[in-house]
Amino acid sequence: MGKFILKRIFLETLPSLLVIITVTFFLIRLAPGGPFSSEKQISAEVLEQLNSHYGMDKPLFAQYFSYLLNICKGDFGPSFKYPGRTVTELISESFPVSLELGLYALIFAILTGILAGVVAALKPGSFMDYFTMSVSMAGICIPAFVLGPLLVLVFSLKFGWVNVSGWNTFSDRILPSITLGMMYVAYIARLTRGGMLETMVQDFIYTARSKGLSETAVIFKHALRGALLPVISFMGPAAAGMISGSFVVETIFSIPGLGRFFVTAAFNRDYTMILGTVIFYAIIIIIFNTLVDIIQTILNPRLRNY
Amino acid sequence: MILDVRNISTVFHLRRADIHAVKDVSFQLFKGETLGIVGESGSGKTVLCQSILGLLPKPPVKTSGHAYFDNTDLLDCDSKKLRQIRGNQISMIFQDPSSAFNPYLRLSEQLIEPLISHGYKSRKNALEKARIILSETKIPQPQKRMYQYPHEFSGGMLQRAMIGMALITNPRIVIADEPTTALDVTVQARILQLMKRLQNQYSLSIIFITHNLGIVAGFCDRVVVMYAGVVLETASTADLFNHTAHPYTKALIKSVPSIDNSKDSLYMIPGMPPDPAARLSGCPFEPRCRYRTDKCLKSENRLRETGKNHFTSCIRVLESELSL
Ligand SMILES: Nc1ncnc2c1ncn2[C@@H]1O[C@H](COP(=O)(O)OP(=O)(O)O)[C@@H](O)[C@H]1O
Ligand SMILES: [Mg+2]
Repeated sequence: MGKFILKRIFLETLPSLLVIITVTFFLIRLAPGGPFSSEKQISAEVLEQLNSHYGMDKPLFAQYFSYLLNICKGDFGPSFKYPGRTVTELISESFPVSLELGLYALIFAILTGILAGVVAALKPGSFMDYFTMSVSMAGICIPAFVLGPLLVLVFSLKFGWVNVSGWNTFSDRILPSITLGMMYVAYIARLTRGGMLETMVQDFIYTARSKGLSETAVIFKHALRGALLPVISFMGPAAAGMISGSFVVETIFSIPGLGRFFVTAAFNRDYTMILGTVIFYAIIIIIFNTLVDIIQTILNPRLRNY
Repeated sequence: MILDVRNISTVFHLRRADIHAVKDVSFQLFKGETLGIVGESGSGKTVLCQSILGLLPKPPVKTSGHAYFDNTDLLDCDSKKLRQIRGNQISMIFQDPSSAFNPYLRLSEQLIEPLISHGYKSRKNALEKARIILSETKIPQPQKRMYQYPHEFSGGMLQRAMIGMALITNPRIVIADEPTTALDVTVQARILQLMKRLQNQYSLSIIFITHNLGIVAGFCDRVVVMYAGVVLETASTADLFNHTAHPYTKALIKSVPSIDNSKDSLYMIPGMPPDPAARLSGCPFEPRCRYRTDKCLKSENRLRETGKNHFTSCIRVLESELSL
């Protein structure tokens, strides 16, 4: 396992990170405008001073290499937009919030999605099947900026059970988690259903029944494991997306998470912040894909080589 | 008599058609005997035995008839009672061992399931039983091997493990659905030997399904010949070969490959089995039968006695027009 992870880091993770950093670095410089162009009128002198302060007067390649050198030391630079704050500070303040929201959404999506998928697969073509699959189709189609306000309308404004927005009490977590998780519920349910339908006609399911196992044991012990393999591959990038914050959900519910930075940094041409969020997101994706590989190896003995 | 199967019919109600896979099949299984069920592939052997244990999905499958085991009608008892019998009193051995084991679970876990699901409490004792049964099926190093996964075994070894798994609860009946078809010829003989030895040791009654009459000759006491979902002939193995009473059985015997037959003289029954979606009257073998006459399709297809404990459905044989 240790060898596997080392190989992974040096042969896959670091090279892909380098490519991502390089492409992002030069791409954002190609975009028109710069970090200071949206400021009110600033004189040419001030602009020059700002540029030299942030090292932007040096040749592009020199900037690139000094940036690389700095991130090797763990320094992601100062934010252009929030004077006096570093990118590392901003991310480490807001990420825990997004992480918490994402984990709740993830748990919600996994539990509901798998349950819905299993129920639908048990009697294909039945009312329950059509019902759960229609609901989950709706989950895919209704965007978060519709679902979120809708939930607020019903559960906050009409029933008054939870706050409209904010991030203080535990009940504040409920609506945003559902809003964020709903789309994934739908995908997970459909993948689970497909996997279950495929698995339930396998020979070993008949063997399990012929041994006198209860249908519950047949489903949860024999069928679900194989049926979940496609769900787990999907969950890698999905979970990474959930915990790294959603601009839409965080805006609707005024949550101080990481999601907004992905969008505002790009609008503001906050070069260091853009790079910081992109690198951070890439690392999360890579971590989750590695986790997925590990989980799949645990679930599927045929993938293990001794 | 240990199992009395009466008038089982099984239909698949599919959207495009109703498939009558088994039509009005009856047979008896006696204690300690080996009953062979033979027929070409597609003749309904698998569906028949899965119907007896209620293993087929209820919609789209509909099964009628009775299967009496110890005064219990397996086709008309609640699912809990049926589960108590499955794997405990009646076990199954499947055709393809490489797909009949769950690839994601260790062999040990799967071997002890028949015990655990029938109220066996001690996991430790169950694992010890699994080890013993594996050594009885002559799997080398069972203590180590049982903790491996199915993909780490050869087909022959897995089939041995499957036989062990079927016997671990000391059942009274084992239904073996083509247990050697997926294996090499050399392995086949050893698996059959193993089954014979364990049958004596555990005083089992066996229903042995195969499409190969050659195996039946050496292995079974009595034979049921199936074709297109119906039974055409039943007899003791000796009578079946010596006093064959149905042209289909005759053709099957002729098509058994033997060692001195060179490949090009291998006999093939001309024609194809009928479409299972079509509802036929009369003898289902008529279109392929070299002895057919006009009345074959007009008369009802029903088993009648032609000798002691020897039944056939061929009216030409029954009316002594034909001797095979
Ligand atoms: N799941 C199924 N759906 C529809 N038809 C089936 C199914 N399983 C078996 N059949 C039909 O039942 C008939 C008997 O099949 P089977 O019992 O598997 O034959 P055998 O075991 O003798 O080779 C075949 O004609 C097949 O078309
Ligand atoms: Mg079969």
